[in-house]
Amino acid sequence: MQASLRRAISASYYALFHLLVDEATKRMLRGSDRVALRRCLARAFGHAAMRQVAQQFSDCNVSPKLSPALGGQALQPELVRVAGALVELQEARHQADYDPGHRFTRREALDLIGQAEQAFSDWSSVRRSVQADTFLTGLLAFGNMRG
Amino acid sequence: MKITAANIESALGTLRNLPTPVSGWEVETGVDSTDAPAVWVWGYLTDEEVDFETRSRLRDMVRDLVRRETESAIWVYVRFRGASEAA
Repeated sequence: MQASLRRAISASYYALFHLLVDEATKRMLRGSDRVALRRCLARAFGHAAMRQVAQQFSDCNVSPKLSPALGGQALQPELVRVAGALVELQEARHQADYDPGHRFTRREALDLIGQAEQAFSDWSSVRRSVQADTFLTGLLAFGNMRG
Repeated sequence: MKITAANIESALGTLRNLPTPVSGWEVETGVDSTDAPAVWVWGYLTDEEVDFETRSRLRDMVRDLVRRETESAIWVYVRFRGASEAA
């Protein structure tokens, strides 16, 4: 039972992680002749840096390194939820994969899976926005942006 | 307020007008996987089926309360379990 719950939680995080990485790399490198290059770029995404940016968006407190791209507009609530889900799921994934002492319950796992499902739905409604591009740019490059 | 599990659990007990009944709270404090201070709150939901929007509203209420009470921007992980899943 615990093994199944842990696998499901881990898979939920990675589903959202890969969705965002895939969106970002396809925007930066278009075309079927760039598949291999997209895979190279995908390896530049780091969980810790993504978490840092996701936390900023979830808290609606985006760093000045990125906020000029938002044009002073309030963040879309769907994007805020996607960011929050990434933070929640990343931590849950860490517990699921590395903390055998932590016991997940079925409803706890279902709630986390539900957050991932909602994040997919939310993302589909904001993915073409400038805010989404700003978020994706931050996920990839925030750690290397100079103040 | 000092950031302790007992203090936070006590503050959670004062929450009123919850979007869905909660039979109890469980709180842990510590550092998360990024070594940042964090709070974990488990809410035990009385009802069997609680939709995402309701859980989301409750999650926001809990997070806001903890941050307000602790006067901090600490990250609050909010998880939900069924009342029947309480240890």
